[in-house]
Amino acid sequence: MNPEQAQRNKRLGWILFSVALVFGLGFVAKIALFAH
Amino acid sequence: MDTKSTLWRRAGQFGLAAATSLTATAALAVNDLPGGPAVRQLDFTPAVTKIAENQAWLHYVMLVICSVICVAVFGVMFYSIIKHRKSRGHKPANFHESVAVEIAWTIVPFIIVIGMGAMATKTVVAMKDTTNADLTIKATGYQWKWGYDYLNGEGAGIKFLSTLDTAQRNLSDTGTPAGDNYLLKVDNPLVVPVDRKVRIITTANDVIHAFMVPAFGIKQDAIPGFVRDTWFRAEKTGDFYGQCAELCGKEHAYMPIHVKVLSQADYAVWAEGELKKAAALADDPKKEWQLDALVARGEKVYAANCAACHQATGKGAGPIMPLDGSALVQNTDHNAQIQVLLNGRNAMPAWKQLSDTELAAVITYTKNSWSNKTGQIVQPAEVVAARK
Amino acid sequence: MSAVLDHHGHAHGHDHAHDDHHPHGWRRWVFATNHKDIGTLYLLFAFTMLIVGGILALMIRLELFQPGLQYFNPEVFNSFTTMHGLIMVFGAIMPAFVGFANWMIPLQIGASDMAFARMNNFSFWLMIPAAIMLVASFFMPGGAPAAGWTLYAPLTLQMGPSMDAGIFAMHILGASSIMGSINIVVTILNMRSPGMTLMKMPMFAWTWLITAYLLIAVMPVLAGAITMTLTDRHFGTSFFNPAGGGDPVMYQHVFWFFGHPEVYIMILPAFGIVSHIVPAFARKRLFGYSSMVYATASIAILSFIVWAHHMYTTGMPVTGQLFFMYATMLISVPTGVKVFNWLATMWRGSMTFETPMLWAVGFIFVFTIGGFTGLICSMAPIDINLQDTYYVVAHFHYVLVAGSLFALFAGVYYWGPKWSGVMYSEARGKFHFWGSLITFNVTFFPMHFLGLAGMPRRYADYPMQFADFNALASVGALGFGLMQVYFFLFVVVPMLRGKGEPAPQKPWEGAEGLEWEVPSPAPFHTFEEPPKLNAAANKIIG
Repeated sequence: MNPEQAQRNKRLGWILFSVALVFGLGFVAKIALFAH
Repeated sequence: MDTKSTLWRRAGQFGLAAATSLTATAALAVNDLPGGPAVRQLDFTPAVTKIAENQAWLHYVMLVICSVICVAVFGVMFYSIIKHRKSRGHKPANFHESVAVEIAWTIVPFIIVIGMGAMATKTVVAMKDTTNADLTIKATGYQWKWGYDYLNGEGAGIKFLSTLDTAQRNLSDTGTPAGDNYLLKVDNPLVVPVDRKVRIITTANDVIHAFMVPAFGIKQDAIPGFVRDTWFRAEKTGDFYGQCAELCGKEHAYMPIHVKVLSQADYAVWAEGELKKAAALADDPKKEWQLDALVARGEKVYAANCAACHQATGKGAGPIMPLDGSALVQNTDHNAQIQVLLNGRNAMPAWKQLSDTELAAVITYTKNSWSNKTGQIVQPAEVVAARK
Repeated sequence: MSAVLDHHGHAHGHDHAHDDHHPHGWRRWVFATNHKDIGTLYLLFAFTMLIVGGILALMIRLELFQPGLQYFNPEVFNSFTTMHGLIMVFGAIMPAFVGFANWMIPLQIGASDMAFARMNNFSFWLMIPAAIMLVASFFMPGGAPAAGWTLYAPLTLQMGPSMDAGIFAMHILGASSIMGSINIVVTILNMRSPGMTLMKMPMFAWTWLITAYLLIAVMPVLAGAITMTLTDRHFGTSFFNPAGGGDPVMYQHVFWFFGHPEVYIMILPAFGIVSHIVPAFARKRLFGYSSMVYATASIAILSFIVWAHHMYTTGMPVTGQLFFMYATMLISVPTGVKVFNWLATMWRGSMTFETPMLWAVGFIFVFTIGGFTGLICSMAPIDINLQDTYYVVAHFHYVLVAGSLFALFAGVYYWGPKWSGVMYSEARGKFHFWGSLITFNVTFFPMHFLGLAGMPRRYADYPMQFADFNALASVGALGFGLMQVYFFLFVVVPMLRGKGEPAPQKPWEGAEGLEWEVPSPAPFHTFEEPPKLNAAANKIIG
């Protein structure tokens, strides 16, 4: 694939990773901070 | 008869013989257990409460609706499989979408599902209504037995543990099961009166268990640190069985529930008998004790309640008073020491919740241990008087 | 050379002109970045785990064949039920679908490979140490974890060191899944051939796109739940430990918030596979494509708000029970829509019933039954009686085995010729199908009765009245297991070895899709330049 394609892929990849991270950490933070 | 039908006949005969021999050997071994599982049971256990009747009725309705839909859907499918085959010369049609049809087969199931939900709602609400119970019993799940505490209503104060019969547990280990109530027999069944609303409060001592009685249509998780409840009103007398329904460790399969439903008269007799038995086992505060026996008893009470602060040596530590050599302890005026124990003093808490016998015993123990050799004895009756 | 295994008999001159420098031997597999090779690795791994999980199932059914303990003590038995579940869910079903995704998505969208080829390699190889740790946990002091695959607290706090190994393994598997899902989403969103809009994309790609989003959302939640279990066990926290003020029910909420979308993760790709096979063998376009896409998306979204139907007996307030009951029942609507659309695809088609179609139709039949028992379970008043009994075991095996696994088999027979270059034996395929269908039903249908009668799950021994149906289930299980051994020896091995009739480029007359525009076996590199597509984006022009 060409470099531009690879760039676009990497950007979307990081976005999705951040979504997963926020979801997971957010869940734990909600529990830890608000004791459910 | 041509070969094909002969073969089918033979296959049928073989199948029948095999099935009969299987069922025959199995059927000899066990019978239905009334109030418990039946051999080759196909349906819910027969209902003994209105709630369980509702649940069974709901299930029948669901079965009928689902069967009708299945017959319709699979009917269409099998018709299509037979008729729309290439080998039959059927040529493929061209259609591949239809908004009208999509809407139709979204709306109709949606309405059916709403109907089902509406049907179930009343029962859900009824199952949750534990108010105005005639009798309240706490069921505590332990690894691996149940503990029952009668909290409120006729029989309040009765408490006992209910454990699987040891002989049956051994039969399991040796791989030699036997009995219509195999793995369902306990030493002390839960006893309740018929036609009374019984509220079961569930909790647990260690891990999550679950209290289940199929004939009543109840199941409630027993969660450590938490209190949940369910209720039932049994409409028939008899014996009814359930098992623990939440994985709780290695003996999960070995903590059954046996509920004995008695007529109200029989229940009253049972409850009274149990309360009398419990009272008899309890200490009699009018008893006159001998010194040695009371000191021995007191040593146990001391170890369980006092040694943590006052030490086994009686020497205390820091702000905690030593009892060994204490003037209060050696004093012939018993009442002063009794009052300290009943009401507490400074950092020492009150111990009035201990029984009269326990208090008398521990005080006598302190008066006759370590270097305190007073020879004094404090009888439970003195503690009774001091409480007034 | 064959895209599956390296046949030393074939001359390397068969390779296409582009790239002859890819590695051979063990390096080809350890350093694989090719989506076809990685797909093969996933599928072989998943099949191995299927056998391991299957052996555990047979051990369970062996003990349950008769009442009384004959072979195993209850703790060991519980470790079997636990590990059977964990291995099948995380080691067999999920990796198998990922294997299909790797093989088919780039081919179907006309991409040269996955978006992140090297991360793809890492995703696969991470699973090997995780699987080894999972299986090795049987040999740790105290044996494998015995708390059920759902790993409820506070029972997990009592387990031995194998619990920690299990948690570690699940973290690794979760990381592998998340990376794989990111890979799939980016590939599908960024690398479709020009002209292939999302609404012209094959259904299998759609179902995986949606599944990948579900995975990205919920795998971190599972990671949270098992991490909190780990800290409760060793680092003095009390998330779930009631003695410290913790809440065991909260574990269930967190776990099932993952767990319910998880079961849809395991079925949506199956729906995708079936949506390819039925049109191919009916020689008729899939009915209601957009409807199918919306239905899949609805199922995925709804799957986030139904989790507590696994928790009806925990003591939640009545409004909670009602809400989750209504929401769960709603999911049957889009699911029904999908079944109707498949039927409408078959209707007035011109059907033939080669093995892939048998599996697909078998799927529709048996999955629908499983769906109905799910609907029955969703009714809270009924579920109070069925929760934690064999009725639930019957339900989820109907949808996971007769659902997911049957769809996987369908896909193997359907796309196998493309992967391996050879046709399977149709007689053997049919034997595998009918044998599996019959033994499956013999095994799991009686479990509905056991559940209605009140036999709880995860029981090593049971009251004797349950004996007959247990014996029947055990006999069926043995048969089902033997069928899969047959499948391996007489279908999979010949395919791997390249033994069989050479497969044409498009073995199935009615099949559509870009994967059929490349030779069988598919060359090592395909679509290195994006192909020019027709208006419907399902054929190459020029």
